[in-house]
Amino acid sequence: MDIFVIFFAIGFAGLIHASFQLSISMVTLLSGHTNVKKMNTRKTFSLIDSFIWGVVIMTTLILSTSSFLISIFFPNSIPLYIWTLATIFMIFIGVIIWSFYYRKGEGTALWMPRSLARFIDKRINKVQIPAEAFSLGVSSVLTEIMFIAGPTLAVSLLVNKLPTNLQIYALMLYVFIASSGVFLTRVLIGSGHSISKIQKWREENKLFMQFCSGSALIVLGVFLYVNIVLPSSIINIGGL
Amino acid sequence: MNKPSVNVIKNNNKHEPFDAVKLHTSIYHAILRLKNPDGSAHDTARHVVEMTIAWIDDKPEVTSKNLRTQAAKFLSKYNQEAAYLYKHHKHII
Repeated sequence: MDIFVIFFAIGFAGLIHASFQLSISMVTLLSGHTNVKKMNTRKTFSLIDSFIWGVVIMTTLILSTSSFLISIFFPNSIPLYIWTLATIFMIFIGVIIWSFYYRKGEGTALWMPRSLARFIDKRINKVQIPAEAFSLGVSSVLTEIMFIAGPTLAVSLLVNKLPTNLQIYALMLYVFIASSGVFLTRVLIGSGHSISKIQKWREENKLFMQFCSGSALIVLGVFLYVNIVLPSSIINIGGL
Repeated sequence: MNKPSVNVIKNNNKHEPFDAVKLHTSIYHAILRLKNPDGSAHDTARHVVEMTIAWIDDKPEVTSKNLRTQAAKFLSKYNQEAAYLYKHHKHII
């Protein structure tokens, strides 16, 4: 795989991550909460920006930690069985997204237990200072870790195929694209779009988004299998 | 404004008396979420609560889901976006 293809795959994985909706749901609720509390615009965006910083930093930390661990465990090259397991994992998560990511029924209720959703809602309603919003941003990434693990694992493996001086750019590309959903929501709220319109759009397109997320993760898994696992297996079988 | 004789059956099957103040607060918050002025939010919430009380007048008990749907229907006469948020607030996450 050449460098351009690796960057393309990393960008694609970033898009898959961006399609996960918990952070977007939380930033939408946070915006509504600041209006209920009659906070001024400055305070509102200070909280929303802190939330986004939490998302960005946690995404960066997860990706850099997993890339680092992979480079420690496999300093020379990543064994084929790890790539195989990773692609199987991605396809598995893709199917899970198709099946469970959104709950059936009205709204954009996600996969999580309702008690956890209520707890998150309560926490959002109690946010007063940027540090609390930041920690909510961090926890929004951690809560979706089982879905984020798919694209993150792919990127962690791909980053280790890049020259060291390019790894930081790959990481930045992934984090930027992965966080683009919350950036976009922030821009929409800042430009005066009401949260009900944002929410309506999300509800109308939720099945499409769910299908795209799951399919894209499966496509990424197959792509990595075909481009990395398969050529090496053929070479091994041929005894070359 | 309270109508304690009506029982509300919640999603977890628990029963509690109808609380007009609670209904007013949740409608008021749904309207405020869209940056509407405080005064008009109070007025609209008050009208919606009155309409809802009239609706439950002949019922011994209602489910919280029915109550929410009906209140959202009344609210949509004043503010459709707020009605949408009020109805779906619990289904955002």
